[in-house]
Amino acid sequence: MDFSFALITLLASFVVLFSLGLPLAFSLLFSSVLVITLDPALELLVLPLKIYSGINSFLLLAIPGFMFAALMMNRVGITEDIVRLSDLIVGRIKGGLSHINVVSSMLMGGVSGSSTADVAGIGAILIPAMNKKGYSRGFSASLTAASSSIGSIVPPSILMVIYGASANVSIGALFVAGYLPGILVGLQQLGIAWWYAHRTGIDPGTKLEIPLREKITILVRGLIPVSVILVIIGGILTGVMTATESAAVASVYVILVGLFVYRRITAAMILDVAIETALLTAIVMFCVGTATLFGWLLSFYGILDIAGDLFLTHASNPLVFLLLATLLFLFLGTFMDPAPAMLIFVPVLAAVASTIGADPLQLGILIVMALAVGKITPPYGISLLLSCTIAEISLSKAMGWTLVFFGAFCLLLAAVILFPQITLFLPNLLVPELVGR
Amino acid sequence: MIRLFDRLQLWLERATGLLCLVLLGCLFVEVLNRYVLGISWPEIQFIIPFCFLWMCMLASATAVRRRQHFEVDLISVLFSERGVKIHQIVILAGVALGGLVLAWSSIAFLELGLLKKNPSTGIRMIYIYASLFLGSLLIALFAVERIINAGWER
Repeated sequence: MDFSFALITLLASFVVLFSLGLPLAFSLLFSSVLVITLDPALELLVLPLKIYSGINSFLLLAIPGFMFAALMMNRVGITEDIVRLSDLIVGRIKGGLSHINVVSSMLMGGVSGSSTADVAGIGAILIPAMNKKGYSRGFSASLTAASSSIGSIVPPSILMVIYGASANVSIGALFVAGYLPGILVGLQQLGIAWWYAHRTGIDPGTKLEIPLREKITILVRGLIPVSVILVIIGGILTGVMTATESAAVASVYVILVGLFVYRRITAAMILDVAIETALLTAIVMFCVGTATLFGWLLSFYGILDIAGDLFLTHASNPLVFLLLATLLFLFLGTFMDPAPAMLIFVPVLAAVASTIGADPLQLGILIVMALAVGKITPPYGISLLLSCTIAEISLSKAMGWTLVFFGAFCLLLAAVILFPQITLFLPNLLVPELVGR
Repeated sequence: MIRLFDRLQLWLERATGLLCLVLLGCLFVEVLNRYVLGISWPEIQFIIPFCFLWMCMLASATAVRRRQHFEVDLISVLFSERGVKIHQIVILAGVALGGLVLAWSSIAFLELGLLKKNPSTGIRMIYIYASLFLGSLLIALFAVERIINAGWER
């Protein structure tokens, strides 16, 4: 079978089926089946073999672990403790509530790695409080959505796990590389929030003096989410555990904390969370399986050579390549869920990146950032939709401020492209043995 | 019939929840074995992929019933109410067909599983490979059930 015909058939049938509304995993499956049936050199046995090899990945076993820990923490009420801790840290600054919103997202992101969990948890508490204090509903909704994007950038991040597995990059190194960009996003949003409060003159910050005993209580309870971060990141950085094992240890740790500190966990709650974890993991993993099959066919028919030649001819400069990759994922993020977008495109882009000398770690952080901001850009902007629902406003009323946050985020993306040290400094310093693996 | 499927979904979800807990437990025990107990259980090397594969395939099937697989709906806004319903049925028929094709192709994979053994335990791989076959059949089953339900809706 002619390779270019096979490639066109594979890609065109996938685009048509997916656009028609067939679920992604099945669009990938059908387009692959079509090409396998047409090509006498291939057998249908390739189907289960490749799907099995895609799902049976030790690295991706980290996904259920992180998901379980995040869902369980939300159930036991850790969000309230995070908000109280943030209040203690930044509540007194002008625009206190908006600062609490951003800092809570940074802490919450470090625990859950999920931006929608962040919006649902923090937004439900802070958006009504911000509205009461005089913030415009559009601002509070867009700030909550924008700050939730930090959840995907600050480790642990499920998107980084998927990138690491797809591009064969160390997840530990990715986690470390995500810190600086995540903090920069947070600082940028704190700056915008301060400017908003300064300009409108609302929310001068909490003036109430908190008694010392209460301060200590808040700090001690706030240490619990911080300790989860330490378990996960500390375990990986010290080499004691792999990312997958640290996710499982974090899950057990969260159950123990829920049992002995919060005393809210029941057997039914654990099973409930496990069922939700299994469902969310399976949706991603079934896509991983069919995307592995699809990706194998793409490379079988030589897409890597074609893409490599294309980039070498038109974008052989690593900077141009990184810019194009970022723009591609900014576009994909507007209408696609981040996980499948990565599964389809990352294997090809990572191979090209290594050919033209772009750093796969830097590429990974850029892709994660671009997809994270996709959650606040319509039509797929799920975080923005959720925060608008909580703020009880239409999407259009939040669009103005969302554009401000989006513009600021794009500036930061440009900085990450131009200055690789933003992503590479910490991994080179802390885990040099993991960089370039 | 809906009740029967509700019950099937409930049991499948419970099974996936338990598989998830066993999976996380085994990963935790591996760390514990390495640093605290200083022992090695080769069986865990079989239990982990067993739980993960079965969990993923069974939960993929329940996700079909819950309509939670990733999809982008760009064209249904162009249709009338009747058109939307027909579109939904066509998509579900596609999902059912996908499940059947995967199940069909998995038969040869099952045969392979009879021959292949897990290197750590010597247990035949068919116990893991069967998850693809059964999961795909359940995907097709749930998609067909949704087609029937969609046909009955007025």
